[in-house]
Amino acid sequence: MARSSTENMITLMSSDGEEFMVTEKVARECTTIRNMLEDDCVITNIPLPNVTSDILSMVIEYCMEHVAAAEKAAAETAEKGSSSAPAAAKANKDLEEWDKAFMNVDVYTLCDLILAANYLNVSGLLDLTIQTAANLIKGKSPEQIRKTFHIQNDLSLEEEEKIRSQTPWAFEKSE
Amino acid sequence: MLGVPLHSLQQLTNKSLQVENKINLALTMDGDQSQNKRTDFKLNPDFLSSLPSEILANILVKLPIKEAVRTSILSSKWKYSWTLIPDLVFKWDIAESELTRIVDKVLLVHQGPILKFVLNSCQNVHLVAIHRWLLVLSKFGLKHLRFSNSGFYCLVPSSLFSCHKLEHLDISCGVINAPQCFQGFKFLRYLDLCGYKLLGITIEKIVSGCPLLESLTLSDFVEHGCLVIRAPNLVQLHLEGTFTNLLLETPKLISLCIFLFELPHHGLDFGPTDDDKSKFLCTISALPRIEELKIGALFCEYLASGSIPKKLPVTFHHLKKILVYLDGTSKEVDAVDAALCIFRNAPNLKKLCLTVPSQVIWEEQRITSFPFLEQLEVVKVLGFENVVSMLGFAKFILSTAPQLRKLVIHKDNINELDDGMGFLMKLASLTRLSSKAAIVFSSSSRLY
Repeated sequence: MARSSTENMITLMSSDGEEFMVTEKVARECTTIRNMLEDDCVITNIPLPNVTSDILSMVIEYCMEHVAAAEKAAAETAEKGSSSAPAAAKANKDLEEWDKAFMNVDVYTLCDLILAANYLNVSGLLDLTIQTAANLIKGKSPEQIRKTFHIQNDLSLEEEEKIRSQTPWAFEKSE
Repeated sequence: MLGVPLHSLQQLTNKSLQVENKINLALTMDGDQSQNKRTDFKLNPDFLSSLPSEILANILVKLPIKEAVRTSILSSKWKYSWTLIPDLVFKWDIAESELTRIVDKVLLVHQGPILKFVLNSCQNVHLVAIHRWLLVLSKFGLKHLRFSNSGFYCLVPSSLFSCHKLEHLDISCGVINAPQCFQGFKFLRYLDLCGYKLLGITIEKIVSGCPLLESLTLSDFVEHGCLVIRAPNLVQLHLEGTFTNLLLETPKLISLCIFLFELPHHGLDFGPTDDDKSKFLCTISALPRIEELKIGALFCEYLASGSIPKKLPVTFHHLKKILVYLDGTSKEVDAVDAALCIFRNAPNLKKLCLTVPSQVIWEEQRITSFPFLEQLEVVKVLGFENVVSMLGFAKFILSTAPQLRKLVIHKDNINELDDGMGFLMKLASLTRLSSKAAIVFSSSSRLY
């Protein structure tokens, strides 16, 4: 699909000075940037001092994939008059698979992505990363969670016991 | 493909992180320290704990509440993290005295806001406790409330009506007390009441007090007289209960579902008059946007009682989808006739779903009076047991619907039929008017 020459390009600048040129459509996936563009439509260069280049490149990759998927679905609907349910379901599944593969990152990158998605307000990415983090906690013992996220336990046994005794129902074995 | 960044992504991901930040950047940051470089994990490996507390709360809210609370012993930073989670869902079986204590404590330490509150079984919880919780929740800006009980009624105090920000309300088996001056729920979009009893208020008044209401489900209820629904933004209406008549002022309604629990009686042995029925049908057909109609056996029977008009006084121009659930009731043949009577008056029908009771035979003269087939694209049949009548129905649909794409037959096990293989062969050999028509079996066990 050829990009129309009139499409606005926007330069996003990471905290470490890298520049990324993206279409306005991709940039608009970030609500924070969309709001800026709506406030001042001539803006073309946006510094993002909270996001490093490696994380920003991942956020852009995510936005591009999702914009492309939405455009493909819209084109198919326009072509056939109505969207066919199985094709749409398959496209959704493909995108889910892509998301899943995209989330195959270490916990540090995951945390950075959560922060970036939160700061740039990319709701889809924020949901995805937060769910991924929650899945890493789910069903694990406190010790396992500490290990996964390198959490230093600074509570004494007495303090821990005290917290347990405040909400005993949460520590019952049966679910 | 869309635009690519100045540098290719692969190149960038491999790039070193040591690039100096040479530019003074215009944007100011809220809160945390500048991330000119990614955090040095060797110095601070516990990165999750340093996420802003509202983000942590949003992670914890994805966990069952027990697990979320359990994170309080991870470290001192985590001690109160869970007290910010916006959704409180109590879904496991807890003894009622225990439940009251737990909810009281959770609400006491919670720092708010609480947007969603779900309680699975509160039939034995004291009214005073629920009153107390609702008052706290209303101050925390509650948007979504769900009380679900099975069998026993739970008393819902009038403080429910002080939760002004509610957008979603779902109560099953609730006896709802209304305050003297009901001011409505200005933001409510979704209302689901199952097995409700109302004290000091009518459903008509509640619905009228919710101007944004989009979806309304009323089930297991008895309304003596006419059920009146006035809702300018209602899109979906699901009624499962007993009522004698229906008055709808719902100009945006798209989907309507009516399951009667009991045949409405006017007086002792008299069924509804033809006048009543036609009023009922006029109400439905007068809905300018109605596209989907789901009707149960008793509603069909209601239409069938007395005389069944061959031609209704109304036409359902917008109806695209009809689902008819018939069961093994005594007057089912009449009910089928009544259902047919609706189909006949829906010229633009695209999708038809039928549950067919075993005894009903789709006699040829009965089905050949369908005039709706021009637009029909999908037909689904559930629960048929009579092979002959199924074949007759399939033959009729396949030979008369020019736009048909799919005839879906739901049958768990074709082998259970007397002559399953013979049935399939006969089915496959039927002439199809539409070249696109496919016959699809929806079953778990396949015939080899």
